[in-house]
Amino acid sequence: MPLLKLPAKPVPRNFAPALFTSYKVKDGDTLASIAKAHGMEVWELIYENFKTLDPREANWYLKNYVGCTKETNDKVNLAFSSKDKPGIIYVPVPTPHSPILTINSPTQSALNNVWAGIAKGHSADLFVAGAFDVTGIVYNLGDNAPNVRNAVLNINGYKFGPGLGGSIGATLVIAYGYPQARDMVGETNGFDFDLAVGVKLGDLLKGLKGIGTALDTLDKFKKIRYVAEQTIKTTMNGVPESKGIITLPIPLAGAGIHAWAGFKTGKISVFNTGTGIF
Amino acid sequence: MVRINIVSFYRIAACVLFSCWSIETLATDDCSADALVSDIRKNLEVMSSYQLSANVSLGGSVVVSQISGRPSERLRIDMNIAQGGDSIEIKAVFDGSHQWVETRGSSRVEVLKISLSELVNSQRPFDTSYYLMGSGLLNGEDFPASLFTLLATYEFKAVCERGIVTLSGTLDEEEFAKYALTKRSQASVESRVRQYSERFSQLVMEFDQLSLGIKGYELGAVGERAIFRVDFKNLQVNEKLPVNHFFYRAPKDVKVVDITEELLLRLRSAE
Repeated sequence: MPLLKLPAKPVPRNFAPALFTSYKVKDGDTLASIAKAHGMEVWELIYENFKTLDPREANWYLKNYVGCTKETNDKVNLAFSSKDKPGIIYVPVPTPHSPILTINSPTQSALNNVWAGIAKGHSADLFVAGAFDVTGIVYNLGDNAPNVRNAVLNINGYKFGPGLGGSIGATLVIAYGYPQARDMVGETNGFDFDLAVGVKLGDLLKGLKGIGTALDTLDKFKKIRYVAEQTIKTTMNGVPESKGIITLPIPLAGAGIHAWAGFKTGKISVFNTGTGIF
Repeated sequence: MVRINIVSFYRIAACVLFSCWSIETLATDDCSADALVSDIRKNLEVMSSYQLSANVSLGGSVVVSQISGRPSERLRIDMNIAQGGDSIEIKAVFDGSHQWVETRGSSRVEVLKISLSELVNSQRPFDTSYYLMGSGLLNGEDFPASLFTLLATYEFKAVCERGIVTLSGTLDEEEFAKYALTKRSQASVESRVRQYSERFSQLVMEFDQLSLGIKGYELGAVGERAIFRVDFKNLQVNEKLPVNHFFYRAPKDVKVVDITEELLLRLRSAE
């Protein structure tokens, strides 16, 4: 029997994601098949519809909001049927030239001053201190695709606090509080973060080619935006009024060590500002 | 009476001359780098406990740590990292069986726990590889061990002036490579030595000339301003520390995360 869990703060029954349209489910549909048909991943479809990634909460929404009554063959989840009432799932509005747009307009978005991207990070264990060098392209998360502002960012500095010393790998960079990319130039920032904040960062790398290079699809941009949103939400309870730059080493092997970076200080350089994702 | 005074005078004069010669000779000997390093090592070897504060400046930031311990047995570091109006407080306690790391940020507290039994050995009693960067101590080493390492991996010249002994050292890459071999890392020894050497090929250590207690050290590259400076203050040695000084209990409402397995996995993959 599927497990159901009432969300702490359920989204309204009439909630519909911006720039999404309704889709009437039918026999044989699954969340995976619907997501695939609309160029999304399952977790993305669930999150856009129900603002959760908890399967039990998703089942609760499927039963109470979508009207699902059937169970999947493995009895773990609820399944779609043509008889479901209202039987509505929201899917992205198809557009001929630009794929899925789910970003609020910049004037309304709390992410206007937030930039994020995947960078290549190199940290060295200097035996008495840690040194790090991070380079990658960050994108403004409040901009509408495809006109998303971007910039090449380099952070070079030192780190304090507990840690393992050196490593090389993908690094999620989130900069907040900067209306323009050039505002980041010369900043020296301290920041703390925690990898075990509930965001499966390893998933972020799936399908991404070229760490530290430009994103080449809107889907990847959306993944970055999603993870950045989640990170900000879980680590700072929303976009703060202050400014700072977070760098999170992404565990490549799936399970990453629980690493609190403590504090970093470094010189930030910004070059090659531009517009566009692709 | 007069004769006695003359004899006494000559004796006194001879003593004064001998003393002056002796002092000069001793002063020269005292300021030989090898002799000083040897004496500093002897002091460290008989140290039974220590307490001190360390101010570390690196890259324009300053970190203050209170460090205390019993060599190769217990270690405690209370680190404060100030940033703007905020600060991060990190407490690391090595209680003999576990390493505890409590990080207290502006919005939350995190406690990590590492079982030491599978990570340490007699040569590296605190070598968990999960160390506090910027405390002034070397990776995984306590206070005396850090000084032993610095003294062993640089070749020194000494200057003794105004009550201060200054040891100026150049990195001995061969010795440092031997040291680096004892540290587990994903990077090769060669690259780690190269990276360290590029930034920290020069070491200057300052000691009190009378007690040979360390006052500070700085690391930098040839011809460049030192970028890593540690000032040690309030050094007290061989004093009894409170019984519960190395005891740690996590705050009630904070979940303790045991990272021993993750750490072992990471370290084994590096070997």
